[in-house]
Amino acid sequence: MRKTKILKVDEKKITPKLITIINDLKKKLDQLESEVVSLEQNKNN
Amino acid sequence: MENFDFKSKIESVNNPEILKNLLFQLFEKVENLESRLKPLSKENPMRGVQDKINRLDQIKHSITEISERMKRPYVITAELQAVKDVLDILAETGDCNSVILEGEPGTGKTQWAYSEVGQELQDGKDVSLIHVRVKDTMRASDLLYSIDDVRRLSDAQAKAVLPPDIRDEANFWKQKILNGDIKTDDAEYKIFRDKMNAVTELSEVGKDLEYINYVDLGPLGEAIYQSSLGKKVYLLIDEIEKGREELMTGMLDEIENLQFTIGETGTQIKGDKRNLRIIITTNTEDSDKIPSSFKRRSLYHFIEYPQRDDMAEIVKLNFSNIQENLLNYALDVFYAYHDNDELQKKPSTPELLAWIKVLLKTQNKIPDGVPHKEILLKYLDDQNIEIDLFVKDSQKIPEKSFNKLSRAEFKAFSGEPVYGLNSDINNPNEVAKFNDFFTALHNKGISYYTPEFSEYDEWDNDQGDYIKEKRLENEFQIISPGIEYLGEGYYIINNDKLDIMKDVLVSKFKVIEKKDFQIDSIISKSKDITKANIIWEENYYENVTINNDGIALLELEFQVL
Repeated sequence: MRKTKILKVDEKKITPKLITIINDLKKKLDQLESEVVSLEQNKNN
Repeated sequence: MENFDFKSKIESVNNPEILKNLLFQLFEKVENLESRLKPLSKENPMRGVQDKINRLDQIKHSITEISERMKRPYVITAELQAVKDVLDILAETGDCNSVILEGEPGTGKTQWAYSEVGQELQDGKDVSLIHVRVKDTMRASDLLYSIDDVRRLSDAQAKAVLPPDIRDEANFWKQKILNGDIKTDDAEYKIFRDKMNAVTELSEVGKDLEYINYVDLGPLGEAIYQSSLGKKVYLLIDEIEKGREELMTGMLDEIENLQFTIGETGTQIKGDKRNLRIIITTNTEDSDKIPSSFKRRSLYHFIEYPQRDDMAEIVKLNFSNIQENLLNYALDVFYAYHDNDELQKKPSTPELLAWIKVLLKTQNKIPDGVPHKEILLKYLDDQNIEIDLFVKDSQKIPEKSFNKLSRAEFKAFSGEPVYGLNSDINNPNEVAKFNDFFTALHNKGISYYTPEFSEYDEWDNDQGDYIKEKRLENEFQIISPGIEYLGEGYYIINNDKLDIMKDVLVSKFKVIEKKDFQIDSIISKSKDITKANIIWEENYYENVTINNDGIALLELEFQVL
């Protein structure tokens, strides 16, 4: 059987990427919010 | 929508405050949007609303993934690191830029993508990650783009000076689309659309109303688009087996050619293979739902479930203070459940780690039974299954028990072309004769692991001294599209790859229909398989596997046809 070697990923390397991913998600949420606003306006019209 | 315990997930994160704060902001926004979308969807099953709910759900899923990720150190195996290196080489040359990762839940498939992106960012590269969680309602076209017609009609009414009849008609169509009565490719709607376009084109706001401003790119569309701009993108298509077959076959071309056209605007988007990596994950149980045409075009990698030693390492990375006897107890219990086929849902790594966390807080000695079972086992029926923890090692069930099909057998029964490799390739004394084969693979640009051996001293009674012996550390393995490794020296090999492999193959599986053979004697019988000696075409075969449908599987010596 192959023996799997385990490498631990450095947390310091992960943090900046998480911030970027979170910011990307935030952008998507902002876009979604503007669409929800327009749906709500439609409903009121 | 599934129950989602955001707050507790985020609170238990132990990373820097800044990340926690960012996540909290996202969380509040998601909650807010959810509460606003709910009344909209109740009143009207509007197509536009459902799309937004789906997108919100995807974002929520990404947030869970991140908060999970932040709770414990991530462990990546050297094996996956190698797959990534191969994928990079193939993508650079434009040969292949997607990989299918198959494995049980908890083998780190999803987190791998996140970790790769992290490493690249650390190196100062501008990369992004697009995460799609596949659902059975998804259509391939949703993954590329959609047009927000409703928003466009509203804008036309608000901004353009429209003749009253067109304004009223715009309202009429808007309601129809919102109600889901028509699709936007409806013929009558198209006629109206052209009419409105003609009017607005003459006005000042015509430019604002151009379709291109109302295109919402889906995740695959977005990934292809970003790659065309020279930006490096990872597209993670998660749990693809949950999608319908149409979804998979529908996106095959786009994944291979990275090209699509937005019909309404005629815009063609052509991505750049060198910039896009597509990581597709699938759980083992349902991996046969993925069409083989899909597999052929991708690299394929099977992640084996961590063996006990590896799992001990993973646990220690998470709980550095854990005592050896508690660790052993926890692993005994965990593997007893994990290897039990009677369970409806086997526990996997996250459950094990959560359970140990509770044990560390509540137990000051090794428990007699299994406290807090509910953390490991989600079903009541499973919790009632007793495990015997105190059997001696010698009595434990062997790793591969005879009542289970091996992976190779399972695939062969499903009709895949399964071949056996010459095991000499992993023998330290024989491996030299394969040097030409390794060179041939190298020249053809096919990636592989060479077998690796380590030396150790063994006492030799005859000589009365230690002699050097070699032990296999890493098996030979090919990593290439069209060749799928099944473990234990077996491969699925597509026809176009057979030629390269023919010198090292020794056997091929053959499925024999019930009517074509006779059972001579039965050796053993279990729930799923029978082992028997059979007679087929006047030859006698020993210890043959027969499945529940009465179909036999022979491993025949390989001959090139």
